[in-house]
Formats: sequence, C-alpha cells, structure tokens
Amino acid sequence: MNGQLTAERLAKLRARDHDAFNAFVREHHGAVYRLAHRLLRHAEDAQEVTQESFLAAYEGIERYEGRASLKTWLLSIAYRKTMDRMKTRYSESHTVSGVLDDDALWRIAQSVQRLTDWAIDPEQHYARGELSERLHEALARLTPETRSVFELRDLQGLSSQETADVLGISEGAVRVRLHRVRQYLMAELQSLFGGKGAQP
Amino acid sequence: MMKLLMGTHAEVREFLIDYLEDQLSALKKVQFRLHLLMCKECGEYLRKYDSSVSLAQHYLEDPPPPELVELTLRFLDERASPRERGVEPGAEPCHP
Repeated sequence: MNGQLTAERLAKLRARDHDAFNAFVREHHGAVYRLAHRLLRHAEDAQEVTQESFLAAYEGIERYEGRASLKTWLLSIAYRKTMDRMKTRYSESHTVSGVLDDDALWRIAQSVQRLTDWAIDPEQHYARGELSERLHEALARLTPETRSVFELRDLQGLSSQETADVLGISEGAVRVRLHRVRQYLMAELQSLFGGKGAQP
Repeated sequence: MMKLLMGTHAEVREFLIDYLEDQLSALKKVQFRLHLLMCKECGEYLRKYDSSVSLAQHYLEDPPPPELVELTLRFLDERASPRERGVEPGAEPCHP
C-alpha cells in the first residue's frame, strides 16, 4: 500500500482494518519517532510517545476530517503528546541550561559577518561523528517550539503550510522561526570552521 | 538609486526565506534577484545558507532503530480493542 490516501484506504482505516492500520504505522513510524526524539532527546520516552500517538490516532480516526493530510494530522497528535510529556516529566528535573530564546537566536543569526569556505568538504576538518554531535548540541540549545519547526520543515521535508498545521501556528511564524534556525546553524558552522564566532 | 533598484544587504538577509519560498511581491523579487546577481557577498551568504541546511540534513540523519516499529505494532495489538484490531480474543497478535 503506498502513502496516497484514497477513499478506500481511509474507509479501511476508519473501519480499523488490521492490515491497513499496520501499514499506516509502518509508513509513518519514523516521522513520529524522529519528532518525539528530537524534542525529548530520550529514546525510551520518544518510543512511548510514538506508541501513544498511534493509539490516539487509532482511537480517534473518526475525528480526522481530511482538511490536512493524514500524516500532518498524525504528527499534530504526536507534537501535542510530546509537549505534554515534556511539561510533565521535564518541568523540574530536566531543565536544560543555556536554551536560546528568540532574542538570543536573533543576535546569533546577525553575527555572521565573514564567511569562510567550509561547505565543500567539511570532513576534511572534522570527523563525521564530531560534526554530527556538534550539530545535535546546537539544536538542543533551541526551544522545543523552534526545534520542531526545523525538524519538520528541513529534516522531514514538510511544507511550511504542513509544518504550520502540525504546530498550530501561522505559516509566517514558521518562516520566521525557520529562518532564524538556519541563520543560527550557519553561525554555528562558521564558528566551528574558524570564522567569526557564534556566541550569544 | 542603486539601493532602490537592488535593495540593501540587510533586507536581502532578513527576507531571504521569503524570497526562497516565493512570498515576495514581483517587484521585491526582481530586487532580490538583481542584488544576488550583483553582490558577491550576498550571493555567498545564500550559498552558505543553503549549505548549512544540506549539511545539517546530512549529519543529523538519525533513522530510528527498525525494531521499534514492531514494538509499536505489538503495543497496539495489546492496547487497542482485540476485536477492532482483527485479533480473536485469546489469540496471538498477528503481524504481517
């Protein structure tokens, strides 16, 4: 079964057809898990939220109205469940220091003045694992709301409108946040490869 | 006059995403194109902006372990109503 939502497929999902739902899970499991994991940064919690999201989708499939794609609808469930998990579990015990608010992000984004040529062969300077770790660390400093925009739009390839639908914000707000994250990453890479620094 | 025709560096950098996502008016779009064509610094900025995204996509690629999907299917078989999931009560959950 491919990802296209035909009337027949939707009818099967609404009838809670076992095979149709399993195919739906297999198709979107990665997207849901990656979103949860990007925000929670904890594999077990991400898996639990993924399971709860599919269960909620299974139980609430009648409420899907077809205004957005089924994937968008599912990811919006996953996003809400992930944010709920963050609020309950991490509110006191897991405060991350150094999280960048919008103003700090803006200041970093403006800091790129001189560009060095790092883009052609970055692994000439750093091992793959180190680059990956530095980028993960950089993203971890963003607020969950900002991180989720980058995850959905740039890493998962949703459109700005789809990203806005998942997060319940305007398309304009998606673009503003995304632009700041891209500029911030550019500043981080610039700092990493020896150009003008990216300090808040 | 040139500023009017081409826009400023700051404008180009601030509204770059609107240009890339085709959200600018026709006039602004022409200004952007002209600016990016004429201004080496902003052209390079655009190239680095694109490269940053590509590089992040490449190095943040993080596929979940494949066995997790089986765990989720098992969870659903256990938690969702057995009749609704097409599983006879008491029978083993079936996975394709």
